Amino acid sequence: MGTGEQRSRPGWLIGGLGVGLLAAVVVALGSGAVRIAPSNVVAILLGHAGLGDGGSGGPTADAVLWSIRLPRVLLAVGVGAGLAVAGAALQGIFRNPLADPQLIGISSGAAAGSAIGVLLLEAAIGGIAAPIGAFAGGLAAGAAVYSLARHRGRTEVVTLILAGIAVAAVGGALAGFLSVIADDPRLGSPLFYSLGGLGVATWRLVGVTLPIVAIGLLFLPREARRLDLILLGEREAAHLGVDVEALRRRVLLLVTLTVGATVAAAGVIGFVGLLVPHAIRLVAGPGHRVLLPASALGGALLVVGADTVARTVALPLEIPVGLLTALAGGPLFLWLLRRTRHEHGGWG
Amino acid sequence: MSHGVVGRGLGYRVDGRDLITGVDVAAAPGELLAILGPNGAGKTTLLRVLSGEWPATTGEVVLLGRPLTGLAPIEQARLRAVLPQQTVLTFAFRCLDVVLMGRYAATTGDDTAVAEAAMATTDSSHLAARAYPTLSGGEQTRVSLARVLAQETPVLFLDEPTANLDLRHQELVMRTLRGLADGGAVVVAVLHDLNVAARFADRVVLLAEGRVRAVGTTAEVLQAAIIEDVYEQTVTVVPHPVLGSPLILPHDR
Repeated sequence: MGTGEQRSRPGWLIGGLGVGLLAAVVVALGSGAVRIAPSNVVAILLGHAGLGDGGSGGPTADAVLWSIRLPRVLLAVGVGAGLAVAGAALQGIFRNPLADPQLIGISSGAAAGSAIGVLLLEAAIGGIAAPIGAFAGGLAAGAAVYSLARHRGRTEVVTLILAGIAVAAVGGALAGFLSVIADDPRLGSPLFYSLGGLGVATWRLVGVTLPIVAIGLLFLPREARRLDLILLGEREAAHLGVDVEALRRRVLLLVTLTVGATVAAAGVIGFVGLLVPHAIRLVAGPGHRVLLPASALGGALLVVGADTVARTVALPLEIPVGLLTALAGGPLFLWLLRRTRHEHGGWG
Repeated sequence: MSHGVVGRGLGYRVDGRDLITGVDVAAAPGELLAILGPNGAGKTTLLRVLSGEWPATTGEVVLLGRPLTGLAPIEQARLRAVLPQQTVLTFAFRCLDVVLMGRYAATTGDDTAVAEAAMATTDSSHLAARAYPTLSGGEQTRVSLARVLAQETPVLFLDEPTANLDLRHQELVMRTLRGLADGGAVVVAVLHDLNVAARFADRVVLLAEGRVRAVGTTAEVLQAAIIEDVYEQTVTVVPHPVLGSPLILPHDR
């Protein structure tokens, strides 16, 4: 494996994922009960941008695409990108390939927090109540798990995962419990909190969610070089000049903010934060400068694709999107594990 | 002595146990100081306290005239580099990328050129494109040492830099450290091989049970009576037939 070969890969990877995502978005916008040809999708979008005549689909196609599908697809892009970047960054600061927002409890804490936020605060502060509650719940869950797993300046990997599983169970149960007993239409169904769904997408929700996710997408990549150094070891990173505690606080805050916003909008969608960064590492290596942006694109691609299948495969029924990411992600993940073992001896 | 590494009255206590107590130690620029002692004597603890990894419970460390506790991590990294006993890396970084990590705190210089030169110095250039976790222990040590060299600091702390190394690479690494000291750096190394210390170090601090048992030039400290007392092992010390430095030969009775 030559040096030149490895260096030329990241550009192709990011370019390829970008093109793939654009194609997936066009296909997603055209798919559903009302089919719209890709050329018309593009024409309608250009029409809304003030370019061209808006295509030949007529007002129905225009309304379906612009008011229903576009917010949903944009939300899928934001949710997928946010979850995958958050997963990659968590695996970095915990130096643990298993760390994932769902596995270490942040997602379920955010789900419970989001439900509480809606019940207590939405009347007073509106749509921002869900992401604020999700942020607080995710932070509480993450802090609980993290402080349990820290012992004498080290993070105990097994404790981290076990505590994460326990906190995730409690958070998920609390969210489901609230959704059943509160009987409040503003809350999602128990299924929404456990398997996710993008069916509630509106322009208003896009407007609340995407700016918060954008903070994570913008600021987490700035920590790329420090995250690389952490992989060498906390001790080594400190020797090399990284303020490890400060880095961990910043990354955990950004991850919780990002994951909280995705959970408030789309519930708990599993596997994205675990699967996507692993796949990217196999192709491009563990360096975060490529890993973080490539994971964002890959996560967006995965969730846009999964959501499109979820809402079209059994029309007029809609399948929870988390079922599809798990159904596609599980086997793919097993295959990745096998490949990882073949290539560099597994994770030990 | 204000321009080297100075530790005064260093103590480190954890869980009510003193790992080191009242250690005074100093190393000047141009000097290679070896920290010696039996297992559990506190060698690694002293190195960790001197390098700022563990804050001293008592006493203070001064690096090049600046108290260690007043320095931010990035400032410390510009003054001193540290080679730990072993760096375990789960993620498959290429070795050149690992060495480039040594350049995080650097503000000047061509990072890639410095990293490649450091790899050449430690005879690891041919490993540049290999994944670090796939290397043997000795190869990992050499790549890690290249990372430490790439930091280009005036002070270096090394914890058993020759562990895992074959004879040729042990000599190569010690000659490199000797050369750095001769070039004006302060080099402080924990060594387990008394003969390696005898040949390459200027001065030795010998620890036993967390305290300084002897300190001085290699000839002053590496005497049979002192070694037998500290290590509880009979030895004969003769002059090296070629170099004239002390040669320590352990034997029964």
